[in-house]
Amino acid sequence: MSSARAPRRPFAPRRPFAPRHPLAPGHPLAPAPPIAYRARGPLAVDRGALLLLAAACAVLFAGSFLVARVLSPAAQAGQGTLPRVAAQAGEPVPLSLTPAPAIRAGVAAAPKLQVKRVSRAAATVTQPVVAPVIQRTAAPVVPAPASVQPAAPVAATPAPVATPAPVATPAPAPQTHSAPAPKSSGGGGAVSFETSG
Amino acid sequence: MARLPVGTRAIAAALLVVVAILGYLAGHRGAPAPVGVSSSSAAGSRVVSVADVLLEVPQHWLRAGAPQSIPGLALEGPLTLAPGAASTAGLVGGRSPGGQASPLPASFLRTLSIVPHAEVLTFLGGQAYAYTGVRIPGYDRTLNLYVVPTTSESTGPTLLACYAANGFAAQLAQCEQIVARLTLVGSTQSDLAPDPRYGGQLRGVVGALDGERLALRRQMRVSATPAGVGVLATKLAAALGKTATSVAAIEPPIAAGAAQASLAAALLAARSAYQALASAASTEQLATYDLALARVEHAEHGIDAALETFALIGYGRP
Repeated sequence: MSSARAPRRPFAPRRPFAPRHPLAPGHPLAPAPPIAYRARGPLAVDRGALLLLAAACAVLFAGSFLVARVLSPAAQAGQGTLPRVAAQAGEPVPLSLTPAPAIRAGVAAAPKLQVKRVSRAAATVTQPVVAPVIQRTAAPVVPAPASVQPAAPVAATPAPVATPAPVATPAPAPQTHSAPAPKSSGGGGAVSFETSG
Repeated sequence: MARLPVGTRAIAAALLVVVAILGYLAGHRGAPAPVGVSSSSAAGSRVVSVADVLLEVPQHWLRAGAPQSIPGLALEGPLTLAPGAASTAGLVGGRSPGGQASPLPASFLRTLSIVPHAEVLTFLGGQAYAYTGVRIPGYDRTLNLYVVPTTSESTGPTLLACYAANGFAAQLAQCEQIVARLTLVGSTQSDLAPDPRYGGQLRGVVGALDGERLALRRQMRVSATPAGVGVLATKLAAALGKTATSVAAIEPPIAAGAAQASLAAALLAARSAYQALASAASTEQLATYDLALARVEHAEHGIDAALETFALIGYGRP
């Protein structure tokens, strides 16, 4: 700003106490001009600003104080409420595997069925003695020739004479003999064996 | 202010920051002090030590002569505090048996018909699990449980139980306040808050297994021959083994490490059980087959129990 006049009075001091310097003011290497002394101090100057600053301090202090009181875990505990953490976002992990159909029924039927067929065959072999009894006593009562007839050829081979005793067990007994094997065999042919035993 | 020099404005800003910090510190110190940290506990209360925690209990909460028993909860060093008759309302505290993947003892879980909902609580010294409103069939008390896990494998977690009969809700709330002000002693903890990302990974793996298992079990149901069942059981065993490997490959949060190990072990046990079933089906021996079936059922219960553990550490339904 005074660069135009500077060359004219290169050695003129701008302040009584300003040091003499060979470089002109405005020269890049010239020292900066001293800060002007202000008779009124900075505090005295902006009383309004000072009040504003004090008010801001007070408000800030009170605000941060309250925030600390509210956010403090100890403060939360003092209020007797449990300091819970927010629940997990997203889908839960399943509590258990989905109930599946039982295996037992499906599998157990198959081997048992096979086993029963074998035992039935065995029964027809071991019961030739009974078969004649059925033929004698039950023939007039129970027609059912279809179910009995398969047994007949088998029953023909063993000695019928050896079975006098079965006379004491004439046919009326069939209903009480519901029993032994066919619980889960499920085959329709099993009925004839139950009644015959 | 706008006319103030830059230096003055900087000083003012620094002053405001300092004032804010001082205000926060003053507010933090002015908050109610946690119990047990200093001797300045509130008047009319005393500090009681239970396993790994210190409790500040009101003076009228007295120690019961005989510990109150809660079905299924066998605690070490049990302590009962009650405001009156211990049978109606109070607090039971002690240490749970160690070496369990679940925060709640298995003996206690067996008494429950519903898996309790878990929440995570944060205290000054660490965190705890909370299970509120727990109902035990045949036990007519409202039960709130709080479990403070420990990082030690040899010792079990600290368990606190607030219980109250009907009409004693005020005592239950007072017990909750006691728990809310507990101080953890000398145990460094990991973060107990569930990790949603980990939960998602686990859910995906378990869900895939469940779908495959269900399909194979349906086929087993309708399979007419033991040989068919054997083939399907072998397939399911392979799926279980693959899932166990996938589960083990997931990096768990520290709090879920034990539960994950338990799940992986349960999956491997189920794989062995299905392999045994396949073997029994091929031999067509009914007794062996029945034993293998029972083993399968037991192993699948093991998987369910391991999955329940995840619900108990916060990965259940929110």
